[in-house]
Amino acid sequence: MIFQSWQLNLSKLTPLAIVFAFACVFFSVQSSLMGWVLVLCACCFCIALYKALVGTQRRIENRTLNLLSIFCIAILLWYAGDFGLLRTMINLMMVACCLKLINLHRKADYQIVSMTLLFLIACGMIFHQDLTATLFFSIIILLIFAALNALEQPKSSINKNIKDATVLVLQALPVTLLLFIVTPKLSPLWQMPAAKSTQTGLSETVTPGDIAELAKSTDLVFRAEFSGPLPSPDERYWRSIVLDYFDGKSWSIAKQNYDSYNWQAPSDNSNKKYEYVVIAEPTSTRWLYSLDIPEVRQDIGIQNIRFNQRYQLSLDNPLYKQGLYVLNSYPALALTLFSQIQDIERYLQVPENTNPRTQDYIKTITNDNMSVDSKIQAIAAHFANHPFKYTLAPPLMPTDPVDTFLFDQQLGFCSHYASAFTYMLRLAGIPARIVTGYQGGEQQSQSLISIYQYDAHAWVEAWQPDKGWVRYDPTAIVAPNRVISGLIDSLTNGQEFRQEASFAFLLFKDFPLLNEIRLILAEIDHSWSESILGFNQDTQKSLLKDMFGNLDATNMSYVLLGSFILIAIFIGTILLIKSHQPRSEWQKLNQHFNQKLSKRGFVKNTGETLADFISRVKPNLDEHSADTLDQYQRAYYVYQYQSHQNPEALQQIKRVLNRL
Amino acid sequence: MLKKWFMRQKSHWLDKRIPIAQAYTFDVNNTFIMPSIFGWSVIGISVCLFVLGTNYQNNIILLVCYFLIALLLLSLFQSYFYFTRFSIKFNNADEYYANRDVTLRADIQFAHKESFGQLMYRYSKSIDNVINIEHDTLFQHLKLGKFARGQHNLDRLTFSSTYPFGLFRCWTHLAIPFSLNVYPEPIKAALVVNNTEQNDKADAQRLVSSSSEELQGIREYSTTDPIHHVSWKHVAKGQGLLSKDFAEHVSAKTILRLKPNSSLNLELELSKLTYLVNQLSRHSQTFGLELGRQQILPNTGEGHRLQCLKELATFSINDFFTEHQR
Repeated sequence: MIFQSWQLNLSKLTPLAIVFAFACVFFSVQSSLMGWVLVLCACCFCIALYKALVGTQRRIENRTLNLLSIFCIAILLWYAGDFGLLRTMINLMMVACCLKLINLHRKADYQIVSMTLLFLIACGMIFHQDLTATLFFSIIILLIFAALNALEQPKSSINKNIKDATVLVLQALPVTLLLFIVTPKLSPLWQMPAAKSTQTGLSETVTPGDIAELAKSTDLVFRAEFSGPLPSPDERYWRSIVLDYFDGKSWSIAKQNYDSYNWQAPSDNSNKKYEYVVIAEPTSTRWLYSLDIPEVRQDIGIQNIRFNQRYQLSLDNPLYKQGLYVLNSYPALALTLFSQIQDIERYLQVPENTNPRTQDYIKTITNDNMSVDSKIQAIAAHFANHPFKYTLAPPLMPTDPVDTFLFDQQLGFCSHYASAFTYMLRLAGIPARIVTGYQGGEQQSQSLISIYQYDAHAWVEAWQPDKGWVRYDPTAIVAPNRVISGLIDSLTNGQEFRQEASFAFLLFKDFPLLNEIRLILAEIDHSWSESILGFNQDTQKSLLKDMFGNLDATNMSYVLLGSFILIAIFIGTILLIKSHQPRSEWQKLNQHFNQKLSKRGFVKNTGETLADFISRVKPNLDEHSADTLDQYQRAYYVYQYQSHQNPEALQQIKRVLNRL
Repeated sequence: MLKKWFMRQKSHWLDKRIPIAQAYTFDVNNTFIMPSIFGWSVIGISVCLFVLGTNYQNNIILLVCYFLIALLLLSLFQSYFYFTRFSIKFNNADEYYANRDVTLRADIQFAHKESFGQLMYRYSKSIDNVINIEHDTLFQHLKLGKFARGQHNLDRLTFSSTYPFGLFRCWTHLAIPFSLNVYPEPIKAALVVNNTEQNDKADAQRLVSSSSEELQGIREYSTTDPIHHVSWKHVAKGQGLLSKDFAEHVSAKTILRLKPNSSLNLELELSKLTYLVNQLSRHSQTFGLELGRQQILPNTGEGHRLQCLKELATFSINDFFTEHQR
């Protein structure tokens, strides 16, 4: 048996570290825990903490624990259907961890809890992949290994345990990185249950007011890294979702068709072109972001990106981890690619019997003889000529929202403007639709733009037979700053945003130094995303190609073999250094003595006793040195034969040695 | 049956692999290393993490997986490295008595400047015991459990260590280079004096105690004198080592004899004799021992005592019977 039953003589570190690690892991996965598991965790944490601090050895009867675990498993199974496989598994592991945590006695108990915690940390990594989370997880892992080390040497100090564990963990890091780079990256072996994302994002249904909720969030949505010039702020319309069905209150997608088209950009180089990489954060939708008109250069890992009739990019499944894709966009091209095949009639759909005042109003300001352009101008004039205000906190408009917005309140957010504008265009007989996405973004460096949730925006596209789909942004009429310098500056009252933003990091913008730090952190986070999270089969191939030239099967196996040899050399070096370290202070002094004399040309033969050696050497030395040698010999024998633990004798040797 | 055969093969193989020696240094020839149960579990977890990381295309999970593999690899070598710093020398200087915990003295050295945690040892099927290695400790006492009286050829002693993280277990099976003489457990008894001149039936009982010894005088200390006869009063005054000279009341020719009718409670009788042998020796008495056919002529000194004890340890009831049947 390797799991002993002897009573552990533990250092205090182990239980405390394990309890602390448990608390950290709990916080990283708590979003997917069931309510009762949260309560159980809290209780077990308190019990375990008390036990760790007081050091009580009272055990809970196995029968009680077994009954409890059967009960817990029954509840877990009961709810398993609602919670999905992944979350059920996490809950199960957490419950197991809890029940073991309150009964930590044997060495094996600690090892089982450590193992469960390691697995739970990995589960936490499904949800949190950013740099800070990774650092946080690394510290927990280090703590767990320090606790495991303390199990093996309970008599040594906490500092030593932590030091020993840190040294080994640090030694493991280069090997880890090497393995990470050379181990072939595989495609998913099978489809895993999707991690239900807690991320917010654009919704496929827009009721004016919704996007205002998003605007309160400072979460990162994606980053775009350009090779070449950046688009100017008023060009940064990141298309995500196109909405074409209006029921009088909300806009939605009329039919979810998964059409996909390949298009080739015109080969002549006269067209303006942006080349960029998008690193998208996980979202709950399958829609991606692009500037018009996107041409996909590289898909996300193995997931194909679809390009559809509405110029959107989408995936088959929601993006549940960070994704990287490469695009070319041609902003100057007219959106006429699908003019032959699209069903233009559906963009004229309006609900009957709603918003009657708007219907009447459109009849008065437009007629069938007007050109499309003049109709649009007449409608846009309504926004320009009335005291509309741009605000994050518009009043509720429960019935006939467009009427209320246009004629009574005249307060709204971008979705209000886009919704009303599109509705009016349709009433006037112009095919129109709402596009939601993000507008603007923060320029992080010469080539990098970060887009946050508060950049969410909605605008309008109208169909003009000669020009194709043309973008109109009614918000820009009311609040031109929204487009040019972003949300915060465009709000008439900046305080509004300040109150709403839950995480006020963004507000460091007001202080130059803090803003500088914030930008540096964002830059580090970006490199992290690109180098580690974005590392996939393609980047691996190109990296290895850069290092070793073309990779065929033979080359690849050489690379693998080489890296194994590298690992072997690395470990060998560590052990070699270790074994050459002198054994103790005593040995060190002996070594020092031998070195000193060998410098003078006297080498101690193996097997020669110290007395023999000294009597051989003495005649060749001056009186003072010979005398010192005698003293050394005396001190040496005093130390060796009296007591090995006499520090006084050791000091004496040291003193004599210094005189030599 | 099969198990017995297997055990025999194993011990045969071990005898060839790790021959009996006075001192052992743990090295590649006598060290075994395998993942512990915990180690196997961590290997299992690494595989799970690889699947999880691959299926979710999550590089962080893959990093953790590779980290665990790297740590396993490093800890494999570390475990072996630290384990092979040990050297061990068994010492047969102690006396072992039946029904008392036998502790074997061993000189265990750890040849590295870092203090090492624990070395575990196990004898036969007992649980693991822990030795805490501290610097420059000369001897470790290894508990082997209780033994019956007699001469024992010891099984191999297993030493193991799971340093640094409990992921790998290094172990070795060491043969102890001597056989163990376990003397009967001493049980306090009154001395039955059987002077050779007297008849067997004329047993007289007398308690031996130091108070019955009369101080005769002080003389120069000779190396054969027992240390408790040294007159410490004189030493303190700086007059050198002097011995107190006692008049010996007990006859010089005491023979300790196993009672003829003691076959039923043989162990008890042997235990009493053991006690007496030790007591008499402590007082530097001259005595002889007679166990059935076995006879040890009266003598004194440490060597004589050990010879008597050994005789007591190995005495078998058969010796006794054959004597009387004749």
